[in-house]
Amino acid sequence: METVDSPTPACSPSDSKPPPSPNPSSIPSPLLPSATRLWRPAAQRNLRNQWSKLASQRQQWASASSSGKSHANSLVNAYLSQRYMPSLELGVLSDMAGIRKKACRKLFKQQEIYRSKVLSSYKDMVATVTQMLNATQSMRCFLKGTSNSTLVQFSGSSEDQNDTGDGGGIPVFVFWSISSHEELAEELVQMFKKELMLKRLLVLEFLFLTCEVPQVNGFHWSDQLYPGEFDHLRVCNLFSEETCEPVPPKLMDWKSDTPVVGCNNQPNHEVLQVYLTTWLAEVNINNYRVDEIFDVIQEEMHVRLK
Amino acid sequence: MQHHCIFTPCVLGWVDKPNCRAAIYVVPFQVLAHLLKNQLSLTHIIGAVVMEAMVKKYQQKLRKVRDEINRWDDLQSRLLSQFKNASSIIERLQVIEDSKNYGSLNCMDDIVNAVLTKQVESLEVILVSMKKTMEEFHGIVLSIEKIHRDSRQQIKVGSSKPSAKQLQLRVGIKPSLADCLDGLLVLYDMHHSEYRLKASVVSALSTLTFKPSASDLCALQQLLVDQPNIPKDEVQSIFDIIFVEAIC
Repeated sequence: METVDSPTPACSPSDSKPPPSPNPSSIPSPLLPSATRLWRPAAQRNLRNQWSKLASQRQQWASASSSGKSHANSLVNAYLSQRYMPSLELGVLSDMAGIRKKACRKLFKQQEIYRSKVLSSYKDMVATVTQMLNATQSMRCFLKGTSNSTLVQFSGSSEDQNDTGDGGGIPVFVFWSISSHEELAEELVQMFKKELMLKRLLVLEFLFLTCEVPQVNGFHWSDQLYPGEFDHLRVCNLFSEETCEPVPPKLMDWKSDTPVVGCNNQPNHEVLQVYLTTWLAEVNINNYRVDEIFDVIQEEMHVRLK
Repeated sequence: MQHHCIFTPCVLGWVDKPNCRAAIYVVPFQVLAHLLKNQLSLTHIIGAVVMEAMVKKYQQKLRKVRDEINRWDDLQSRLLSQFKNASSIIERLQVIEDSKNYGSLNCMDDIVNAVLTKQVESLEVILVSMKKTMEEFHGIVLSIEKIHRDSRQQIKVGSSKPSAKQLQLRVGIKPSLADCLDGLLVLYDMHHSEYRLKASVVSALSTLTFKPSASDLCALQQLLVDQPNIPKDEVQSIFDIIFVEAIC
């Protein structure tokens, strides 16, 4: 049960905030005292496992985001060089036949390479968020088999409707119940989900950079960037079935939804600089808060997460 | 060889530190050659041996200074990369302040503010770490100063206050005491002035945040790179004189 991969049906923290942890004295634990005694170590093991996954996915995100940034940078440089090629002062080289054309072709090829690299960084980020969500949804620990069997086992999926998998809301380590852990993990994942959609918009902009005659409509938010993207986004609750397109990018603590309007003109140098800066800034991820969450958790669990 | 035997006992009376023993057996022979050639007296011999031991001590001090200078070079490259990061943020502040430059990102309300806030935060973090780097530079200056001050003090108050002639005395290829003292002073002066220059460059950087100018930033960065108060070749020639044995 330590590496549960399927999301558990009993809880779906992505839909709603988990309920506040019930007072242990008012709601009796559905487990027998002996089972509770055994439940704790199993739940602890599981939580440690899930939190360390979250910590390593955070590193994964950082590396995907930073390689995406450098590919986007190279892409923008190649694009701008190609765009300014006609007006470039070539000096003695201008005598060489077709040099501009050849240079443009080369720069065009480079852009293709970087475009696919930017896309693959985006794919990595989608995978990271999926993994994070998975860990968040696998924090509960359920009793396996009937409770009166002599051998007590635990699993990540519920077999009994009365078993909420949180040991009746008792603290798992020192103070915190399963649902408090879930709340913190959820807060963490929300930041990365929001940032993922912002990155998606930037990726779209980068992918549609072109020196050729601009397409009439430019890009659409509803375009799928790679086969299967929408399935991945659905898993993360980032795909709206009503509008049949991904959830529009939003900033943290900002509610309004403005539909994404694709820019079909070729962005200038300043706009591209802003795009790159926005990629770098990760406005939706409050790193202080993320560090704080991991600090709190490490203290609670008495482990060092990498 | 005979002279060597005669003079060695009285030399032992003077130099009794264990780490100076090597000097007793190696140096007297050179010293004697020098003294006999110039027909100098016993006092000269003893003086020369003492000087020789002191020079050794000062070489040790200068070795410490050389370590500090190596640390300075590490800090220099750290400061440079911090400066480059800070100035690239400062340079783009004007661009990211203008919502016209946000293209399709404008579908998110408040995006300008969010990006700007994040960038200013990062800039502040960099400025704070530059301040810390400057404190470390200051630490190096203070440490060189202390080594220099202690050396002067020892010469002034030591029981064997050397005469002007002894200060200039060179035994073999070894540097004179005056070489060591002057070297210390020059190295201290260089690094002290350079520290003050860097401090003013760093404070100029934070004022540029409000009215960025690419050419000013470029000029400041060049000042940091050049380190005009520390001519590399001069530093090298000082160490070449002091650690001449290591070269030969």
